[in-house]
Amino acid sequence: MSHTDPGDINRKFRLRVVDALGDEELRDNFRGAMDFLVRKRATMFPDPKELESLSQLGEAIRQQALQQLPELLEQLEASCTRNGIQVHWAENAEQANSIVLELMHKHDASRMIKGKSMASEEIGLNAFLEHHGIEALESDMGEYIVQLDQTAPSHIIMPAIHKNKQQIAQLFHEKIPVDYTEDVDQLIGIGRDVLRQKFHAADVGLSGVNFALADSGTLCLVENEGNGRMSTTIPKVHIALCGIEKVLRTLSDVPPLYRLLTRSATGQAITTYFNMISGPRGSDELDGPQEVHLILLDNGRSRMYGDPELQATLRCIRCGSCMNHCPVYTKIGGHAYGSTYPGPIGQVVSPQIWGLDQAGSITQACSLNGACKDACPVNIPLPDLIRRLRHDASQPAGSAIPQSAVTLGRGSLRKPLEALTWRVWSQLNRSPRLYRVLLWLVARLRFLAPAKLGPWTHYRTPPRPAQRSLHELVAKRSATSPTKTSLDHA
Amino acid sequence: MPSRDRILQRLRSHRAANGSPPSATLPLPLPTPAPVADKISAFIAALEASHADVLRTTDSTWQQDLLNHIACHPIQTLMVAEHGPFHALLSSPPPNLNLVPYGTALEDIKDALFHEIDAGLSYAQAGIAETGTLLLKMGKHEPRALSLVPPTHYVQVAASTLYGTLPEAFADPALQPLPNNMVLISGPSKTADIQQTLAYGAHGPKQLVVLLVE
Repeated sequence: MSHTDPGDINRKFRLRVVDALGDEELRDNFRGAMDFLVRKRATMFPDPKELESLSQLGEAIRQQALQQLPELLEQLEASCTRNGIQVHWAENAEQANSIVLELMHKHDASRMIKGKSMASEEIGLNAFLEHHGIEALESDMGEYIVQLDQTAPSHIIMPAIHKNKQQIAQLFHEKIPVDYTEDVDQLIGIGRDVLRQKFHAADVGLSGVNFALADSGTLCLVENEGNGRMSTTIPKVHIALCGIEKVLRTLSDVPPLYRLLTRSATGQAITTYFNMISGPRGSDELDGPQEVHLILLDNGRSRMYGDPELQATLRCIRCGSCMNHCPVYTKIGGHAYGSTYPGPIGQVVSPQIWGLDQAGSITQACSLNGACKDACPVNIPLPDLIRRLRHDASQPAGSAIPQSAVTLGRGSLRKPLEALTWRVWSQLNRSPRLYRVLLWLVARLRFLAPAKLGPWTHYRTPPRPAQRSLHELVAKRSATSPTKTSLDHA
Repeated sequence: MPSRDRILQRLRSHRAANGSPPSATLPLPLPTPAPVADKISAFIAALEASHADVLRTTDSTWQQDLLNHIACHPIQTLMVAEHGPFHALLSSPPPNLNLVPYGTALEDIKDALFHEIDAGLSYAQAGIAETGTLLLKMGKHEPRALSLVPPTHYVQVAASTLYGTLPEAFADPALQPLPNNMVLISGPSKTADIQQTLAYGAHGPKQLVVLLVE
C-alpha cells in the first residue's frame, strides 16, 4: 500500500487489526513511541489551568476563522494574487492532482521533491504522478523511510514511528543500498546525502501549509528538518497544497496556535523552522522559487462545514496528540486504520472525506474513553463525533433530514440483525411486564449460556446471567423488611 | 461554474442553512506567555538547549570572535551576501579563509553552494528570548539559501532587538509588511524520525552559531 485506497479502509479493516495485534515488534514500537510523546507533552503543559485557557483561545481563534471561512478564502486569494502567488481551487482529489500535473507539464518537469504534506497523501498524489511518469520523492526523513518501504505513514507527525532503528537500518541497507548501520546519526546522514542530490536536481517542490494568513497572503509551514525550507526555496517552482480550513485571519492569530501545535505534537516549545512564505522570488532577490502556486483543496471539507456538529472537525490543527493518547491507536498502530488519517481524528475525518460506506468501519476502533478529547489542544469533542458517525452509519438511509447535511454514506453500514436487536431491546425496555418475564426466563435458563463467545473468551471467562436478577433480589429484600425502601441498602 | 465558485457557494449556503458556526468565547484575560525578565539569559539558555552555540560579543570584536570560532572548526570557505551588511568582509578577506560572495542568482552558484561552501554568514533582524528564536527577513541582503544549504550557519543578532515572546514580536508593526520570505530559526536542523532519537543536520545546517552582539 503506497497510498490510501479508500475502498480498502472498510474492506480490510478487521484483517489489518488482527495482523497488527499479532505483531509484537510493532506493538512494542508504538507503545514506546506513544509513551515518549505523552510524557514530552506533559512536561510542556505543567499547569492544567494555563493549558485550559490556551486551548480555549486556540479553539476560539479557529472557530472565528471558520465563521468567516468563505470571506477569508476570498481575502486569502486576493492577498496571494497581489503578492504574486497563483491560486487554484480544487473540489476533490482528481482536480487537485490534475492541477499539479498540468503545472509539471507546463514547466516540462519530471522531478518533484516533496516537503511533508498530509493533504498530498490524502489525494494520493505520489501514485498519481508516478502513473504519469513523474518522480515524486518525499524528503521528510520519516516520509522518505516509508516511501522507500513502499508503505504509507502510520502517524501524521512521525510517519515512520512503526519502525525501530534496526528495521530502518535493514531497509536502508537493502533499498539504497548502503552498508548496514544502526547508528541513527549515520542513518540520518545517509538520508541527508541522498536527498541533497534530489533537492539540487528537482524541478518542482511541493509542500503542505499549516496556516494560511488571509490579510497578508502568507503561507506558514512548521518543521524541524529543513525539508520544508529546501522544497520551497531551491526548486524553481513551489506548489503549496492547502486544505480550505487552514486559513486564519491575521498574523496575531498564529502564536497561540503555533504554541499549542508544537507542544501538543512533539513536546517542543518551538520547532526549528517556521517558514512564512508571502511570495515568489522578488526581482531583486537571488533565490527562492520563480513561481509559487497555492492549491486550495476542498475534498469533503465544505460538506463537513455543512453540519453544525461535525463542523468541529475543521478546527483540527493536525498535531497528532489525539492518536498519541489513544489506547486503541497505541495497540493497533496507524496502518491498521488503512486511512491517510489514523487515530481519533482519522476516525472522524476519513469517513467524512471518503464516505461511511468506504471508511465508516474505523469508527468502531474506539472505546469512547475520552482520552483524545482531553488531549486535543482545540477542544474537538472527538468521542461525540465518533459516536455521531457510528449513529449515521447505522441509520436507515434516506430518513428525513435536509440533503445538504447528509453525511456521505449515511446508513451504509446498517446491519438488519443489529437494527432488529435494538428494536427488540427498545420494545422490551418500554414494556415492564414483558421485561420482567424475559428477565425471569433468562435467570432460569442460565445453564444454556454458551461457554465460548468468539475471541472474547480466548482470555476471559464467559459472561453468565446471575441466578436471580437484581429486580428479584430487591423485591425479596423489600418484602422481608417492608419499612425500608429498596435503595437504603444499596 | 468554476470550482472556486462552487466551493464558496457550498460554504455560503451551508452557513445560511445552519446559521453561523457558534462563536467560541475568548478566555479573558487572554492567556499570553509569562513575560521574560532577563531576555539575554533566556535567549542564550533556550538556544543552547536547542544545541546551538552562542558567542557573546560586541560591535568591535565580533569579527575576531567569528574568525576564532572558524579557526577551531574544519571550515575553509565562508559565504557572505554580496549586497548584505557584511559585504565589507569580502574586500578585506582574512588569511586562511576562503570568502565566497553570494551575489548572483542561485542557479549560477548552485553547485558550489551545495558542494563547496562550509559555512554561511547571515543576519537576523531580531531575536525572541523565550524560545531562543532568530527572525530572518529574506531578500536581496539576505538570500534564502545562505542560512539553509551550508552545513554551518553563522548568524549575527543584536541583543537590543530581542523580544520577550513570539506574540510580542508578531504584534510589532515594525515587522510589517512581511517580506516574500521570512523564517524563524530556533536551532540547527534536526529530526527524531528514527525511533524518537534526536539527530542534528537533517536537511539544513548541522551547526548553528549565534553571534550575539551586546
